[in-house]
Amino acid sequence: MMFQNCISISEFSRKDFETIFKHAEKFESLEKPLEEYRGKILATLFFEPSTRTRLSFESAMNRLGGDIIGFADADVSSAKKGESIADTARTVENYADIIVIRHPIEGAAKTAADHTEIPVINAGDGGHEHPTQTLLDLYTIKKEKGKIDELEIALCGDLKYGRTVHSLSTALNNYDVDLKFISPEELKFPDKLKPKIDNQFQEHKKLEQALESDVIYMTRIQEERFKDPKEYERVKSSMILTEEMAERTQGIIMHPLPRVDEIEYPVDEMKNSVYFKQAGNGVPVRMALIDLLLRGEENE
Amino acid sequence: MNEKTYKVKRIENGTAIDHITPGKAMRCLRLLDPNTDNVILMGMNVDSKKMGEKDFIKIEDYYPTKKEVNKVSMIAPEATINKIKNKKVVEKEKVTVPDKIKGNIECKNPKCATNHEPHLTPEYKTENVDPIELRCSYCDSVLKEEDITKQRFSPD
Repeated sequence: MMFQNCISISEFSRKDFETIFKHAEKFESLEKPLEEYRGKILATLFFEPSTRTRLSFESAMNRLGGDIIGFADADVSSAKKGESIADTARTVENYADIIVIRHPIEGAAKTAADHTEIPVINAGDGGHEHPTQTLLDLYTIKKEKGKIDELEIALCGDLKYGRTVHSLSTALNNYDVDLKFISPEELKFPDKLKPKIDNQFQEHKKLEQALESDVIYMTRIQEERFKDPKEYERVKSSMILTEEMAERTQGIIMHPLPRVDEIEYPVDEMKNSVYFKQAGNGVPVRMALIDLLLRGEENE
Repeated sequence: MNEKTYKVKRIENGTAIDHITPGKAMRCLRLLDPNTDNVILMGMNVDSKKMGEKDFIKIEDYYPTKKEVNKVSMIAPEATINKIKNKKVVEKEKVTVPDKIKGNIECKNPKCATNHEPHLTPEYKTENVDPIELRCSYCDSVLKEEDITKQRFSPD
């Protein structure tokens, strides 16, 4: 592909992933900011709250040597006055070289990209897409396991509403892996998405079933998805990765964060828990993406 | 006389839409925009050599636009549109479902950008022809036949 925008993970091929990962690896050892980034500006338009995504984009641009402008709260932007996404993007285009946008409306990043000449990165558009999370998830698997092919990957927790597991499981179509979907009955992987999964998958209800996998990808079970608080408590407690369970697995433990209590705190200290490293990998991956988009190179 | 033999008056000028999927004529009519005083003849579940059974609609003094024909194709992918002038078929066209559809169909997702940004034109990719499935290029929602037919379209 031509690195022009980053709107949806489905736009990326395996070759694109490899190019980004190679680039990210190079940036991990970047010692000082790049001269060519002097005067380059990244605009972060965050119409919804975010900790990791926004800060890691800002850290990425700072490390590259560029500057940042933007806002982290829709209340301080002209959106409050009724300005459209397209008009905001057209305006910001005059102030920056690249835009990162998070917005509750689905298709917001595409709208911004359709109305600007500069690259646009989707940092989350409602329940729709969050492609850079998937990029850093794949990068973490590759870095920790040395490969992605031939691994068994267990996706656990809220597989019904979890945007990150939907994106990751379809992005893994570019690799040859075995998937395990592990969730309570109420939060099963949606039937309508199953035809989009090219790899073999099995479905289980017990977290125990994940322990033999090479990768255990945990997700948060959101209370607001349940009408009955008792039901939420029951479901939640069935999907907690305990210290004892973590000791019995050789697999790496991942989580897109924020965590509530689905992974016990003592697990954090274990060698195979990589979720904070995973969050840290957001920086080199986003540096790589920003750089490739600003260069606008064809990935042939 | 066979139960399903029928006789329908020929129209002098107008459009006959034939080979409509049986049972879909009413839905197709909803996608068209004839005047309220046009003569409309409709047949449902009648015998067809080609299809076994079919529906048809004849509308006097009315010719559908390209966009209306595209919409009919989504409900009845086998339909043929016959333009009639002076009781003769002057043009016969088999409908085709376009690969990409722009405008005139609202996305069913209330959170889709096309329902919030007034100047945006909805765009869809055809994922499946029969039954129809359109994927929104903005939010990836998939629209099915019932999502399309329950909308009242503007005539252009």
